[in-house]
Amino acid sequence: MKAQSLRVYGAVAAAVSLALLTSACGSGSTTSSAAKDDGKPVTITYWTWTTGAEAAAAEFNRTHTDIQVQFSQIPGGADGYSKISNAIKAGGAPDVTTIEYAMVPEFASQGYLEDLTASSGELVKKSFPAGIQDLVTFGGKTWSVPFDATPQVYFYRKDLFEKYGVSVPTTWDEYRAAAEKIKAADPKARIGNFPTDTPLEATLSWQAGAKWFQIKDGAWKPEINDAPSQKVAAFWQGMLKDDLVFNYGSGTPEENKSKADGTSASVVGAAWSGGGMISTMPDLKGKWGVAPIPHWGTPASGMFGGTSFAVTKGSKHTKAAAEFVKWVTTDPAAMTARISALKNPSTSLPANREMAAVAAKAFDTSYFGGQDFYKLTGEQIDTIVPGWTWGPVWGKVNADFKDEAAKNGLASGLVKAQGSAQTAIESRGLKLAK
Amino acid sequence: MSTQTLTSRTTERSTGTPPVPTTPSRPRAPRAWASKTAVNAVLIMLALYTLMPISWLLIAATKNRRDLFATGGFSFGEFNLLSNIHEVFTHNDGIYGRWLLNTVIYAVVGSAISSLISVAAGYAFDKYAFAGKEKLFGVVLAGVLVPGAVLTLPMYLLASKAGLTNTYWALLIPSLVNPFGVYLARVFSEGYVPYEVIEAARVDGAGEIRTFRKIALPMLAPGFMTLFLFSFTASWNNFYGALVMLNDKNLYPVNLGLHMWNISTTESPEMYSLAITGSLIAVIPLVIAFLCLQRFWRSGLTAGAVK
Repeated sequence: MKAQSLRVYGAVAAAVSLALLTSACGSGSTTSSAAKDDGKPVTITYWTWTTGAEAAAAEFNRTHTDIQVQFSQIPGGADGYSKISNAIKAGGAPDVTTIEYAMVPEFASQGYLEDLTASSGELVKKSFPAGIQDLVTFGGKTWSVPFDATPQVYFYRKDLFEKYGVSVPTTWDEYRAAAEKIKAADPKARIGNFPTDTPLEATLSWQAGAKWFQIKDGAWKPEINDAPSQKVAAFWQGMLKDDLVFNYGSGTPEENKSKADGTSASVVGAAWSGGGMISTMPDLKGKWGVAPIPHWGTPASGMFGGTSFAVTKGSKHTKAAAEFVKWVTTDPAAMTARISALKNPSTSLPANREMAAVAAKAFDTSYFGGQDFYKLTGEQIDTIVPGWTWGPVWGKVNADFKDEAAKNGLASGLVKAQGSAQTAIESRGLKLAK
Repeated sequence: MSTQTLTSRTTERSTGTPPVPTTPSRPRAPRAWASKTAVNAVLIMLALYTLMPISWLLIAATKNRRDLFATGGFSFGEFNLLSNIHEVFTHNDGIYGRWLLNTVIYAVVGSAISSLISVAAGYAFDKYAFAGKEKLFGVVLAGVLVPGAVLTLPMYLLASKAGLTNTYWALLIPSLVNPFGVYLARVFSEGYVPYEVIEAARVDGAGEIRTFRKIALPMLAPGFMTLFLFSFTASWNNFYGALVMLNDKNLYPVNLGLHMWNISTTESPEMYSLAITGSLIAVIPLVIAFLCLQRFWRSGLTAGAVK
């Protein structure tokens, strides 16, 4: 981007941003319109980064006459979100977009999303597991519709566990004992990797019973440094201090290599992690097993990642959009189309049971030695601890936690994240519970 | 590049003495070989630092998915470069080729027009007298001071109002205006085009446009190429603008497309080899452009240094 001459743009930009500021405070949302009466189909726009989405949209267009979907693939991650929010500000937003669970409260509290209570509230209650509903429903309203379920699961190398004489840990204490045993047997090997640069810490705190954000009387109450979180931070800090796990960044060549060459004997992941293993480590076919995630005494799980479908503020076709969202999140045909387009197997677990059944049927279980992968991961949905919400400032909190944790340890990261949550909530003009 | 500049500079001075500055304040100049060794050592370090990532890229592009994860960064696995390249160009119905073409449109076409505008404007600022000239030039200079990233969002909002988002124009139009280019072109015009030549052309009856086209523009060629290279690299690297303006992946430049592939690796790690091989292919045109246009670049940068 080159610098422009100031003359025109400066003035216009100032005018536009002023107009934006004033309009953002008082723009009423447009009421929804059903499919047009003149017989022409309604066209809605749909942006996502998810794989196989284009095929699903094409299938929708093939089987529907009154609504047509115009698909755009956008980059995921922070860039994708800034793109979507910019488009919403400029009035060029898509009708439907995918938003990860962790970002839903942020988008909803910024006023970027249409309230879907009327159109999809029932659907969410009826067609999705209770543990997942909390992620898209808060403040008494439904903001998006779940797509996949991401309860934590534990991947482990069956052959290595046998070699080291370690049984699959069911609790975190057993996990630590297994870690010690593995390191003693082979100084180069570890039980796994603990990346401090992912929301893994948050998910593990969730599993332990923490609730980082809650809504109390219409105000946000962050409690990031609560007792369960401190327990989890202390546990993993101990693992890192005693060099019982690797501390590679997530997705780094080191992490990938340690999985591929067997120096990492297990992975704390979610259902979707399996797809990458199958395509990048074909040689380890039959050697990986999958088990419930170790816990603190009673089986429990947090959710690691995952995506939902939302309708953006200002959409002129909310009704048509809601209909497409319903189809893409619950209709087995959507899943069939999605899977048939994939070049590599996906182990993503749909939140909706009928959709999950389609995915399970299409999945070749031989990589996991014939284990019923979808049955096991599906059962973990019931262990998701209810009542968790990601809070309205997750992007900022996550970034601050990562930086601080990398520098001064996990406990310090929690303290920092709590402070940054309080500051960010107030600076965005949201109510902070005292 | 810097190493070449250095060597060529030193050889130009056919004085025979090594270019060691000796000043009266330092009675004992360090031995020539010592300083040479030091300079060369630093340069070798810098060259290594620059070449490490690209050699990693070269090696990684030859590996298949399995070896990419199982072997070390600088060791070879099975040689799969050709099948990787094939996969890059066939993935998603050959979208990668389309991205390359788009990048060429954005970078080459955009830069050519942008450089022409800058050269014409710089020439006018230098050779003509008109009311408010210096004030106007001050405005152009003020434009240099505004960082591009700051303008991306306002530009997006403007484009959105004009209905230009998600079109080729959304990236082409903003890239045409280049205040720094106008400033440079004015300097070039002072350095390369003597006023007497313009006078002579006018006496011979050439119109102003013709004088510029036939006389000034050929004289400004090195300057034009310098601006073109500046522009070209800026357009080639214009990532944020493309990210904000475009949402049809058929319009993406190659950097945004690769970024999309790279981001998707969290979900599907098999995209790694595509992203890596694609990056390697995308670097090649830049390398070629630099090698071909280097002499312009160098002579352009030092224009007016020695009268």
